[in-house]
Amino acid sequence: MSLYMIRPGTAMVLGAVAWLVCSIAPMARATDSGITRVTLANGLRVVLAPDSSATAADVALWYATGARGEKPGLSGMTRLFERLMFRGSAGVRDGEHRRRIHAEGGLSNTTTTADYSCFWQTVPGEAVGVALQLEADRMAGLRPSPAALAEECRALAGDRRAVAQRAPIARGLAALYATVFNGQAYGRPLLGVEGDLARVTLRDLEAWRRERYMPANAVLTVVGRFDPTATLQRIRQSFESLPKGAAFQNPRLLAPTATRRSFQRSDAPARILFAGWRGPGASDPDAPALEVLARLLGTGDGARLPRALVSEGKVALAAQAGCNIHRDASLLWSFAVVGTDADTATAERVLLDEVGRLSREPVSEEELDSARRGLETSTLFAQQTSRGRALALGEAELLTGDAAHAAARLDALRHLTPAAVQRVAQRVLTESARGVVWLAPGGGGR
Amino acid sequence: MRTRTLWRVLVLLALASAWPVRLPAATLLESAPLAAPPLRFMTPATRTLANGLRIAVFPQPGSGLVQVQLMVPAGSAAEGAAPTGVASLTAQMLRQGTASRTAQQFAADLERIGGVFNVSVTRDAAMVAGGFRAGDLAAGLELISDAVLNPLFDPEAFEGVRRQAAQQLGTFRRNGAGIADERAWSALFGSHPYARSQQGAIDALFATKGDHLRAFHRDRWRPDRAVLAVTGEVSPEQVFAAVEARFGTWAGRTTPDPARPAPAPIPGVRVIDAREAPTAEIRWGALAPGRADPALPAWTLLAAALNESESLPPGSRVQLVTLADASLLLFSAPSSLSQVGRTAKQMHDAIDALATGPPKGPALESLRRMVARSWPLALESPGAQLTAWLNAQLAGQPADELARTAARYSDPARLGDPAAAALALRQGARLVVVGPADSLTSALAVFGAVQVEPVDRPIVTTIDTLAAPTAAELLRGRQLVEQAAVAHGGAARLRSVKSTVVEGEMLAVAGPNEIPGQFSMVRVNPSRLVFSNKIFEFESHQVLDGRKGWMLAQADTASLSLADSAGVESMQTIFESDLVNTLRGALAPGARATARGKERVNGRDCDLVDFVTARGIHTRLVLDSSTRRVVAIDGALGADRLWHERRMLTDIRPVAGLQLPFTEQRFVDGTLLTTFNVRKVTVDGPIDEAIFRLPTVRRGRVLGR
Repeated sequence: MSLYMIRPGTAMVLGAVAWLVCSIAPMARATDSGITRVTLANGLRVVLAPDSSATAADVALWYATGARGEKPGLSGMTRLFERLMFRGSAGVRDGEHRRRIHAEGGLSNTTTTADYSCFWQTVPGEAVGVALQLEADRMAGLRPSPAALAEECRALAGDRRAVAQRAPIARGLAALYATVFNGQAYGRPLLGVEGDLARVTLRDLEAWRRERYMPANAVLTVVGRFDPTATLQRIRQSFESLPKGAAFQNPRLLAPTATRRSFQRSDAPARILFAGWRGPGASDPDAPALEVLARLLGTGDGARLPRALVSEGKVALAAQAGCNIHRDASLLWSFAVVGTDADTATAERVLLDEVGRLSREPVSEEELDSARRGLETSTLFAQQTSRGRALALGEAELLTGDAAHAAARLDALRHLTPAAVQRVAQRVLTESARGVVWLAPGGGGR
Repeated sequence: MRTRTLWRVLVLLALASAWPVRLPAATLLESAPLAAPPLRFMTPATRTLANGLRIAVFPQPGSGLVQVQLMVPAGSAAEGAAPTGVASLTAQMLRQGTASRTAQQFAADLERIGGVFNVSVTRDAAMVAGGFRAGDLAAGLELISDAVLNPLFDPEAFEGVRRQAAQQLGTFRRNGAGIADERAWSALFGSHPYARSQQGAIDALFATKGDHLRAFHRDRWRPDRAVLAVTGEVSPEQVFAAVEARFGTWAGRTTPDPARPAPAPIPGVRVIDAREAPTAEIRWGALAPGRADPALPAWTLLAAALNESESLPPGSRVQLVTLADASLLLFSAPSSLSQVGRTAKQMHDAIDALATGPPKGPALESLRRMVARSWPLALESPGAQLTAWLNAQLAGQPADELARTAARYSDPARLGDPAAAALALRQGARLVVVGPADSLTSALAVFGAVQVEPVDRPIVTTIDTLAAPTAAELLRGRQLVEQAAVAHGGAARLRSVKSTVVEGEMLAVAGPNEIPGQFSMVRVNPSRLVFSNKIFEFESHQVLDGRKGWMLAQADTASLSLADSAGVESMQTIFESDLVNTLRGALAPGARATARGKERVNGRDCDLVDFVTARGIHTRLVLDSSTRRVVAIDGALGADRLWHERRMLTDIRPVAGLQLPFTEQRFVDGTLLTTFNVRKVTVDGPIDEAIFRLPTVRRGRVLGR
């Protein structure tokens, strides 16, 4: 018997029982670190991290949809949607969302990556209820006017043009992404490509919303100064009645095959070498070691790349490395600004050789300890505000499926050994996972 | 029956929770607020060491970190007679090497423990901040104490810091918004030290020597008025012991603060002439009460009210910068050049509207609520709370000031009188605009008398130089010149000088580039001069011998040209431009030395004396009011009655009974063109006659003299 054949009265009773069961035994789990995770009946995952010593609270709604989930021809939709979320919903007028949060003494903004879109407001504890209601209202549906849609499309095009003119390092990193993840989801530009949204309609947007911006595809984090019991109750009142929707499936990534190279002209005054390696995603137990590898290579003047390329090798004016970890893959990136009188082949050889040394030789315990300490302090400092802690917890929930992973990551970092770091280097820093981009003066960019 | 009732209740509950009701906006506004835990601020455990250093510890279990902030009364307002910017340079030098560590070793040791170390300077104070893992408290405190107690002020490192500061100043000079903010401070605070530029000034930067930094460190970085605050996963006793171990030997006392004049806004409208600027930056500024003043909360509300005003120009913002002595309310907006008058009026109207109808009743309550709720958001991190607490200490506020502030904002009766503040704002507001003066002046005249200042030039009191001097001015001028002569060795000694040879390094500034070179200047009285300089491979010599002169330029090839009358006159001007000959000229009976008021130069009060040289050239001496030494010599008086050239003289040292400058910087219209750093001065030494002989140059080669 299908659900459609149940008599209305019976359905109501079943619904009531389901509600009662949820109320008595919420799918909640409190962790050792004081985090409570609850999954509402409609699939909305809630992460509560109260802190009575905090002076503010951060309310954020995270949708597991980012640029990587955009279909060909509709690139830029995530950023467009991000903008339209402030252009009015059923109970909130155009622009009212920001005004309401401001009047409460708070701040609101958004963050969009390849994996997710996060809508957040940092507010006084007393305004948590307002923030929740505003988010619930726009989760239920948007009501932008055609004029607002046209306006935001124009603004997005303006953003795209601004990005095209941005600093050479940012442009080079974008090119490195496109090279390492060639043709794949993480290689796509966050703002989309020119012309893709020229004919988008409000109907398209609604279809897009129903596919992605639904409770089953979202995480709600509340962090900082708030009463967890009253807040959870308010969350249920505000969100649980919303229809579940389907969890959105992101496209799969293909395995890397061979080193890819690209060469681009830019208006930068110097030649810049970018090299990057595709690594595992956030849930992979080797992800913390990847962060250590990036720090060993390129954080601080004493790191390996600045030493090998700048102070000792004298082939570069500056060198740096870092690591971006996404849901299903990561990018360990590096760059070197090559001196005017230096040979580019030598610069590339020195950089790749220095990176290769991490696979050939174990790091010293002292060097590893310094990298671990640096990562630990920067992580802890970043989590001192409710926004910073919400970012750590929300990303952990979105990218690994468990907010507690934020704490587990730190623990894993503390226990890394030189052998483990070398093993991960051998796994990740391979030729097949590598991409190389040269940015050379010549004006104009691409 | 009871079962049926239960089912009905369940069904109703289910319906109530599942019904997709969409609430109108008005209902959202009326939603019941959620209760939140009360706002709590950390309270410290305190101790004072024998040397006067106060320690405050705010335990924060579970954070895994420890943060240390040390505040000393060494902000820019404490610079006194030292060159502007010395506070910032001193703080920056702390991590540039200590008695036991090079800068590289310091960075490596910091990196080894994964710590962070920062220095910052405000008008009130300098701050050193460090952050480490909780287990690294001892190592972190050792690094901080080493930097604070034992800085080396290494000359080479100082040059690097100075070069970087010069680059930053160069960038700053192109930032209209930054210039507007800075000039608003000087326009509002007058001769109060808050008027000093925090960025420093290019002239002062090159006049600053290592000794200035050492002296500032010796005088201001002392423990008796310093406060060290620590928060993190540490116990008070642990911190007290560790601080005692590292800072117990810190000795000395802070020099007393000189009396500070009350802030006195300069009347009229100031236009900062940024000739190339495509847009303008407008600032309406007003003095507000100091941090501990009970009237300050009313100004906070006022600033919020102004920010919320209807019809503000696009991009406008209101900022209340609170400091110990007084605060500054800055109302800012960018503007297109054609709309400057309209934008400035729009802003003034908003100020006027507040004074006419200050917020009251529900509007005031709504503002109070917003302010009361928003200010703790800025104190989210323990580091931000430490800084706020330390600033309160600096202003003499109680240890629980943050909690008191929260209570004050919760009680409408304790917020002072916003209406009175609004009237004071309207009355005290001054207008400062940065942009091309030609395009702006007429549009701004409606707001008051417009005074135009160059971007780079220090503020100069406008005096009608060419007006006939009064008897009193002439008498005073003569006295000042005689006192200046005494300060530099005495009139008799100055007049007895027969020759001087000055050698050293020069730095020519060409756009963003600095070009180093060497120079020498030989003067034999009454009118013989050889001025030589070498930049890279290029050498040039200008020679004056009585009424004739010539110029020799040498690189791969040489070229010689005889000076015409204009060339000779130019070299005569160079001959007379050194301090010895300038003072001789001012002492001459026909010089008509005239006192022309006062000016603050590099934070010092100075007397201005104009005189006319024997060749009829107008010259101005800028004399330090306390030492009577010559601080600067102004020249190139234009038809616009502005002195277009200023030569700053610093690093005065005794030489053969004279007091002579070892650094000279030449500015034209506020732009630094050349710095001369003197290595050696010889007075009345032997002079090689050959240098005055006309050389023979053939086919690009010097054949001899």
